[in-house]
Amino acid sequence: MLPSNLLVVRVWRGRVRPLLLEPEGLPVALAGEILDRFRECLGRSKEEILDSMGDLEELALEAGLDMRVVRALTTLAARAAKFEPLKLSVDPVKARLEIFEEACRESGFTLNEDERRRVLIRVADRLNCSVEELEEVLRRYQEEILVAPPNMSPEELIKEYNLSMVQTLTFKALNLDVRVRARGFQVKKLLRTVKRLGLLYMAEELGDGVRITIDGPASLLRQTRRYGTRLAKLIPYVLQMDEWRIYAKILTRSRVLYFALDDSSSRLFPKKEVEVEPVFDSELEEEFYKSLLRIAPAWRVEREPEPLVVGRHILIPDFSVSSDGRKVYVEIVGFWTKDYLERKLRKLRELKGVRMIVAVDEDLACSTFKTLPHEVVVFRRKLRGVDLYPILRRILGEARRESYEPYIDVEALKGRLPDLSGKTFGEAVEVLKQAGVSERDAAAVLEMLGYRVEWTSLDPRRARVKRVAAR
Amino acid sequence: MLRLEWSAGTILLRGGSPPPSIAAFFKYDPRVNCYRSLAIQYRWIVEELERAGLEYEDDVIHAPPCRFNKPRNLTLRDYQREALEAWLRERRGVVVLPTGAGKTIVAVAAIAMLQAATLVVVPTLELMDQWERAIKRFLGVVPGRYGGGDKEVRCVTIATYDSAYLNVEQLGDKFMLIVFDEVHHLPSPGYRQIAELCAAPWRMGLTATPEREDGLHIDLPYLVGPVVYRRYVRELAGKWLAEFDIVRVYANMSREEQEEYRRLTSRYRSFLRKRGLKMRGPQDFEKLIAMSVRDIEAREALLAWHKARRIALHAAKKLDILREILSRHRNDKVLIFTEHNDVVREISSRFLIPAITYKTPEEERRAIMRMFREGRVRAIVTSKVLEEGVDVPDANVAVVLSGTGSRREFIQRLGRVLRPKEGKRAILYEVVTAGTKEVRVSRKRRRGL
Repeated sequence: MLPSNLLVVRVWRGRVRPLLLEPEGLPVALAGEILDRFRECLGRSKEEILDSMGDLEELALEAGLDMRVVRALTTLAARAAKFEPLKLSVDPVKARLEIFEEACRESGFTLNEDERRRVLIRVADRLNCSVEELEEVLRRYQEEILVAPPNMSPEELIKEYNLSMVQTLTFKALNLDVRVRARGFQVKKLLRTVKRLGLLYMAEELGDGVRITIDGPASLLRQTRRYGTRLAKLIPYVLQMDEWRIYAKILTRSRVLYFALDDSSSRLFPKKEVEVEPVFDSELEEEFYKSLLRIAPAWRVEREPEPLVVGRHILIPDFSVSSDGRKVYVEIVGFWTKDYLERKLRKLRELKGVRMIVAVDEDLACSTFKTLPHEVVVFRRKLRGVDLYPILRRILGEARRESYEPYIDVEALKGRLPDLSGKTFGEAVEVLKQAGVSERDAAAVLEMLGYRVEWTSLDPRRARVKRVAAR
Repeated sequence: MLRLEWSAGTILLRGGSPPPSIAAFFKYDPRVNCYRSLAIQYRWIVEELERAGLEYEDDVIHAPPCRFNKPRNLTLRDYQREALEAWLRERRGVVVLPTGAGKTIVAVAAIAMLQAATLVVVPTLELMDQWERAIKRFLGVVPGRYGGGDKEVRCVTIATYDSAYLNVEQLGDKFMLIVFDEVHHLPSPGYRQIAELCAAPWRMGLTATPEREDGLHIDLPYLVGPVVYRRYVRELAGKWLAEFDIVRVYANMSREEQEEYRRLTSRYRSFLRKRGLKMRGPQDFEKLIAMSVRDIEAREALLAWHKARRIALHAAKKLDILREILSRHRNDKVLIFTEHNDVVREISSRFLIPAITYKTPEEERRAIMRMFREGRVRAIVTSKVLEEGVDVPDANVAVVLSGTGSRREFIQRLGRVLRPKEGKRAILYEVVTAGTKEVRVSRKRRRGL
């Protein structure tokens, strides 16, 4: 982000475009020269370094570039460099105040070199330093000295410049209209930032992506640039997505201009380390994910998959499980604030047209959740893959059986086990565990042993194990 | 039942649609499925709901608890009492009093009278310190500070315009009364949002000169209320303000400076001639600036103009004249104003006078102001930061070494030395370089008196 007097734009037919630079050719040469100068100016003051770029401004002008480009590049390079206050042998503020007070005692102000000298000598004496050091304190005390040049390549500087130009233009934006196709966790990050910054959004489906229009509370009532700086902070999140397109209304002094940018310009912007996988929100989700992968390796389990549009908002389910073109979403509702739960409930009630399993913590399993138009499962503190297995299988159908049929000698097992009929599913899992059957195999093994699990309530652990009549 | 809720600078109306008399304030917001209005309308919304006799729940203002002592040593002068009474009629409006006439006291008296949570908005950190002292002294409470690194809300809170603008979403529901010091800043496109996004029903504006060159002061009645009381310098000078003289001193350029000045201005003019440009006003000059970023000749012309202006503003002779002025006022308290920060530095270092610029560290600025009040230093050199509100009663000499043609800037600089004190006569020196455009600039700014 740059001061707005360094923003370079072209306006044409009601559209506005910032001057973006290709990371090659002349711009790179210019950026390289600026970075070189910083490297050569180690130990010099910031003011001095910035002032020394004048000839590059002329050079840019002669080459047909805007001279603000040089200032913008220099500003960004200076920001990436490290400056420290000039090291002085005495505390500069204390020394200065001493000097001024002493001068006042002497004569009000020092009107000639003799008076001045006398004052400085007396203060130097008192502070145990030299007159020369006091002169430094007077003339240079606020200087910042370059201690480390910017650690970046010319191409990186150009890309940083491009991002800054787009953000600086966005300062003047009335709103931001983002159209993306992206993973759920990427959209989630964007929307979390929207919320954190006190902005509001409206979403709609757009092909196989979403359109999100973002502005602030007062935007409804006023054409205001109040939210521009905050909208600018969202730009980097959008640039990281797979497919994106940005529209913004830019309010200049006299009129509204349109700004558009899309992923065909991706190469112009810095590529941050992209997270391959989202971070888990909770241990609960992580445990569930791992156990589901264990029991059903043939199903495709995706965390925070594509965003779903519900009314005017976006819901990003925790998981999707798919097999042979069928797909079901899983949303886990654990402990959270009342406000959050109400919002979640409202969204879930409005969600239509997809299959959704809602897993609710027992303590929250108030009747409202049971009335949701989705499959609702209640769990106690911990949610395992097996808990959802029966429902998932009903919806997704038999996945290829061999892929999850455990290698277990069922006949041998039969002899070692007590009769399990009448036990709860949870108890049966425990018994099987004792006998060396892992949790992930429990549901399948019970079936192979000739039991079936009867789901009498929403809580899988209260389900009863029954013996199937021998065929 | 209808319910009013605070929402980040706006008011949400839940539980139904607004009755017709206030429907114009609201707009339906599909993002949250209810009606929304700007917070500034809060007072009018509540008044209308009351008048219509409608039942409603009001969850807009969340003020911190307030309890003040009876104000101590608070005696109002006649015109201050009149101003207070005029304002109390509607509990909104602008009070216009000359610098030094004690505007702060009018606001402090209003706070004490209403016993209400109050936000005071000021332009500078220096003024923030001064309000803090006044509130402690007269109301016996420690105010909260918002700005310059502090973020604390108390019953009385002082914020800078900048931080109030940035944080109005958090501050706008915490106060019943909002006081805008130097209210002429408020109508600018950014700062006006403080007034629009704040729910405080009672509003007071204080200034010596509400009028703005851009004409935006016509919005003050909407933002804080109309001018409810006004007094001019000439009505108060002598009794409530110090008598003053203005002395203009001409500085002559040295021969080298003259030559350089002539060379630079002729380069600038010949560029204008060559391109057929005419400079009739600020818009024309802005066009030249816009050209200069892409046009090498325009850039050189602009640089020449800047250099010429600097020579005029800072002719070396000016520092000799300053030396003379200072030698005449060794026992007075002097404020020196100049346009550029490096000249501030130069004067500070040569005459060993403390400097205050926008870069001066907080700790040092406070120490300097304290020492100046106590007489441990007797001069300060500054650029723009001290124009508004340095309140040092016995400062009696102002030196304007360079400045713009702005009348407000000039009146404010003069105002710094007009605080009344027994037997005081203030003097303002204006140092102008002879034979340059500065002569005209000086004439322009003095028309404000």
